[in-house]
Amino acid sequence: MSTPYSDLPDRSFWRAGLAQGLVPRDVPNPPEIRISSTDLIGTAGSCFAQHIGRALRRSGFRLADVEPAPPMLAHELHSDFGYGIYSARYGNIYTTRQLRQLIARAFGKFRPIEDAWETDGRWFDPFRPSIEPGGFASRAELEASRESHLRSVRRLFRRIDVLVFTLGLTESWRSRADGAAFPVCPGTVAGEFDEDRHVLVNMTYPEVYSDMEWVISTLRRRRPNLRFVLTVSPVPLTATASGNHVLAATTYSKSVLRAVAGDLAASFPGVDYFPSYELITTPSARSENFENNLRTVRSAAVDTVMDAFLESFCLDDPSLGSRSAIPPVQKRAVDSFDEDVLCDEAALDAFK
Amino acid sequence: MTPLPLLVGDSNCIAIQQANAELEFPRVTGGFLSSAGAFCEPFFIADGTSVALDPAVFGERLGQWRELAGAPSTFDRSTPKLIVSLGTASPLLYGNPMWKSYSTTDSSKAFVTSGVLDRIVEGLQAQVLAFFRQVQHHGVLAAAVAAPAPQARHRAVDWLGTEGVLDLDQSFRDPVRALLEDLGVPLLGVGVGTAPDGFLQESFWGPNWSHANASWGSAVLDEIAALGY
Repeated sequence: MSTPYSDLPDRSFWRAGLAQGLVPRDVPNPPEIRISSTDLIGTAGSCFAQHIGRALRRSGFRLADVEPAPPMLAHELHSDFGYGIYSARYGNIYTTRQLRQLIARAFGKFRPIEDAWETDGRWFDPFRPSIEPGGFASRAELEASRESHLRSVRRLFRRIDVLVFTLGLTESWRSRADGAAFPVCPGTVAGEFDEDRHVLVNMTYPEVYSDMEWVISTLRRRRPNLRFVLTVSPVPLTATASGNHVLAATTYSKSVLRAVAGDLAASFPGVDYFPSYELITTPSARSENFENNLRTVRSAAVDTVMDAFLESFCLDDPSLGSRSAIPPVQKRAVDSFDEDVLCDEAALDAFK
Repeated sequence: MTPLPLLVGDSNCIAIQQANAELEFPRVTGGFLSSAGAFCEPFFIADGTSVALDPAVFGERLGQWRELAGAPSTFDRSTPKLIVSLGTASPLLYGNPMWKSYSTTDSSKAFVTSGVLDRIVEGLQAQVLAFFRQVQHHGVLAAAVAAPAPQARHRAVDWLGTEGVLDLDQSFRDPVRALLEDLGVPLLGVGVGTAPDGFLQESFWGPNWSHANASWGSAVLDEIAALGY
């Protein structure tokens, strides 16, 4: 007797599709969108998004960089100052609230009250606290840098054809005064924690969904054909302030983000979900995709994810090569640069 | 008789050479070795006893300089003292076309923070500062020569404004000035031909917007003579 399972492919079955050997390219659903070599792509998100951006760039994609490093700054210093990591110098965007807030700030719709931190005469931007190692020389310098940055962000969102956004965390530190979301807890990377001014919000599904719905609709008012690729970072939480075990906290966070990303892809035309989370955390890898700290994703695993990404989104564009198509010398340079993934959240490790 | 000091360095040496050539009794030997940009990369080899200009970097120019100087390009306590013109040729910084779209003061351009600017200057000056330390350590550094002030006609004024050019000029010179002060080495030519507005007086302009003329070189030679070499 025929059932709905009778004619399904191997990928539908745990044993055939995973236990007997996972084929990474089989994991993503056939995407709704395609990315061509002429599309301008913006990248943003949590630490894992850095891998995605670099892999896209070296595979021949046209990556937006609206805040390129000054040409006279030595290449090895670019990432120290947040250049070349994402499409603008916004640093890691761990939460959907941060992304929403960035867009609102860029278009003049939100101006956080707590907008500068001063420590020992140096000034830090609460919304990108690592962007200037050692801090800005003055508040005026911070504000000039921010103004220039937000103008660049406006330009970015007016120009890109595709936004690849990696959702990272649900735990979000906020200002009690106006709800402004910080990328990390004040006092960890910069600033000073004050429980009268700062509060943890562990975002729920509706909150995350609502943020992304706002992001999609707001950006599409300016770029009606803007496409989105959503991914969820497979990198576990460094630490949780939720009171839960960090494993349970990680599972909650990733579950919410994964569910929202999937539902957005199902609900909005031009929005796809790419399963980088699943490809890294799959039981078939038996944790081999992580370094010994069980948190850092091994570069070989990133390569597997990006191969699947390329096959998924750009099969019909021969000008977009695989990573292996990179000339050896260039690939070495890229690989060595890839060793550094800058993660503010990892600073929490220092507190234990 | 004390041998004449050896002039070595960037293209600002040319104006000094020109002035020197007009003298009945020259005050220096040597002169221009290479343009300022060449000194941003490793350009010398130091060991425990001497400092040598790297032939692999300067090629034929080094032979020409040796001929001009009548001296070897390896320096130690037995060679004449050096007058070094390096590390203050600030057009290397403010003259870069990147300042058309970047600024350290104007946030309507891509904003460059003081932290980024410091790293840029450090990158440009690292080798020159190391050279000054080495030649001083080996007892062969007599003095350094400061490049002439920027010229108001330089195209960078259009990109950066007068204040922007002068600020970058100072930022570029500061590390060298500070090091030489620490080392107790005189910096000659400071302020020579500089007008009250901070730019080089027109009467000292050289053949282009980066270089001064022999009048400027002559004034520097007077300061070298005053050192007593």
